[in-house]
Amino acid sequence: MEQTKTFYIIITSILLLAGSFFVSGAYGLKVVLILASFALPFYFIMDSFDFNQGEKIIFSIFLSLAFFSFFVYWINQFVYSYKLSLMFTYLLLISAAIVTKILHKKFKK
Amino acid sequence: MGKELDKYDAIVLGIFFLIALQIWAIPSLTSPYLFGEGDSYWHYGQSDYIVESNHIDKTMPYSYINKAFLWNPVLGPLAREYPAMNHVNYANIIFLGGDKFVPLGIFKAISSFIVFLGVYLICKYLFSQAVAIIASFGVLFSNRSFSTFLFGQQPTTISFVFVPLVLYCFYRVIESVSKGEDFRKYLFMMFAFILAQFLLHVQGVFISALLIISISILFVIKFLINKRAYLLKKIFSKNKILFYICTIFVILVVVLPVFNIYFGHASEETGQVKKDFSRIFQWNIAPELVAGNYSPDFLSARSEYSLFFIPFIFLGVIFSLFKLRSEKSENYLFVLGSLLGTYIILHSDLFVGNVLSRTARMQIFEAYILWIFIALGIYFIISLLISFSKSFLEKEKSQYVKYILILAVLILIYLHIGDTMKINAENAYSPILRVNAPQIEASEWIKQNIPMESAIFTKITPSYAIYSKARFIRAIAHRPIYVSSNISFDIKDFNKQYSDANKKYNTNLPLITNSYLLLDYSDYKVLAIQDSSYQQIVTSMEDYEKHYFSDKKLLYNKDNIVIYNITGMEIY
Repeated sequence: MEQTKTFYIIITSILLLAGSFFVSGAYGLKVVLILASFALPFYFIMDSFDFNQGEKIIFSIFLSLAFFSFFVYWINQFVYSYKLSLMFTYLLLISAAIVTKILHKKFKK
Repeated sequence: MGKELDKYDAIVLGIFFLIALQIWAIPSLTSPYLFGEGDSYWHYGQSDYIVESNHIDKTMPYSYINKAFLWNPVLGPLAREYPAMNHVNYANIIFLGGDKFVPLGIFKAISSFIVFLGVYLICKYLFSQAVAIIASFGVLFSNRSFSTFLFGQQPTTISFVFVPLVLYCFYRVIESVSKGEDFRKYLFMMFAFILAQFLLHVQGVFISALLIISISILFVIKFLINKRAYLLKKIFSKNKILFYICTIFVILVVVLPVFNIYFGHASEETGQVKKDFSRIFQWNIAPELVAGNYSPDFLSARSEYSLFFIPFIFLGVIFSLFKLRSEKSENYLFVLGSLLGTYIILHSDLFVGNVLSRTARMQIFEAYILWIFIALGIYFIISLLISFSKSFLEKEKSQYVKYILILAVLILIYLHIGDTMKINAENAYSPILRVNAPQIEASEWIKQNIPMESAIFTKITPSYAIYSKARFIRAIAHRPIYVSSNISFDIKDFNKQYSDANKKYNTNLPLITNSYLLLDYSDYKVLAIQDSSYQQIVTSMEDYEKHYFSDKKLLYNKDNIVIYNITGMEIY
């Protein structure tokens, strides 16, 4: 069941990326990839909570629209370099997703 | 229990995304240069500066000194107009997208039409897949959202696109409360989305709050009538105190550091505007009330929904009212509450003293609610046809009829409003209304060669484009630009203001030491090829240049753009 779900997600994502390239060229594809990669850590964080698949995907896209830049902004107030802040934000969010997953598994047991 | 999204929904949403992307991306793909009104360049400049300086300042760049000098008396000179999140979003796309303009245009498009995901989610959960398909397809072609995107005021729209998700989470909270289930997860998500709105543009929070209040009033009345008021007590039960404390803590951590950006702002000079209470009996804002700010086309329901679909709004409302006695009464009460909230928001200038032009802009979100009613109205007709067809068709075949009818509705939506949007997208911002390559090159030269503490005047381009183009030069060059047709400028006055501000706020604003004049013939020379009457303007500009600068050294002279140093000169 879980494998089928993953299979559908992968196929849909590939079709969506190919379609984006077809209708809006390389720049369109790039933007879709950037947005997807920003949403990904939020998806992994949400994955630890009891939301359904559709909610997880949609919520993570919208959350990333505001909170990814929120973290970039605040990290930048300490790091100064904007480009480093971007990198640190990604690492921070991925770490948060891993920690949430571990904590979730621990408390579930 | 409503329905969750499945793999068929993913396919539908994927197709809708690609249809929308194809149309909304047209203005970014037909020309590689940035488009929009002044706001577009205003936001671009602040975002590009983040990438150029590799830092996110708490204040705006110095180049905005003459525009945003002391908007916020609490935070001091050059305080940001909004929290920086929108500009950081733009900066991320500019930095990672591989081009300064095209990816940004595509991002602005996606983040404006992405609302269809939220509309689909809530409609599928509350009603059915058919309603979700129709409503979410309709919002893709909102004329108001598209115009706002074209003008470059997309930071407002991006805050509004969270509204359906706030409503979805709020519904899940109500549903959980009425079933006695745990609602904390959705309440937290609702607050997270409202916080996101706060970080992007505060107007979205205003909309969400008024919608929640309107819906809550209806549900409290319902619970009281049904003698289920005890359910409300569960919301504030003792075992949830820790959750509320944590939620309030998160809200404060996000809100407090940026609170004064919104609330330290000098109040808008609106003057004594007489409130027209006859508007209570009208849904829309009359174009003459906001003439100059919004076109009649922006406000018109006909442009937004087309005449064909407007009757379905009424049908959808009547259908919902009838359904208040059905099993799903709470779902219909919820959307009717949203309609009530929408009415209050669109009349917030009368009820809560909102500025009328801001109220007009909030009409963007109206489509998110009214398309749900259009979809309900259409679905009502489709259901009637299906039940009629069942008398002579097998059950399975009548399902096919249903999907054929839905497809026909989607084609009608596209023909009525989608196609118009596509034509608008293809004709939006012709090359003369966008910055051109020589203007970009001159702006880059200014950035490299003219010191920050300078005043640059422009005498450029046709009057209808001068402000947006001057703002663009500011956005690329990151230098203050002053548009002037009669240059009688007193630098001393500006410097006095800046030094007074430095003393009062203990800041270190550089004073203006140099001034420059940029004469741009590039647009007029292109226009003169098509229409010889423009040649006269070119000639008079050349005479002006000869009069003042015949013995002056040219600092820059390329592709019909010239720049002079005018420090200390008396010119008009």
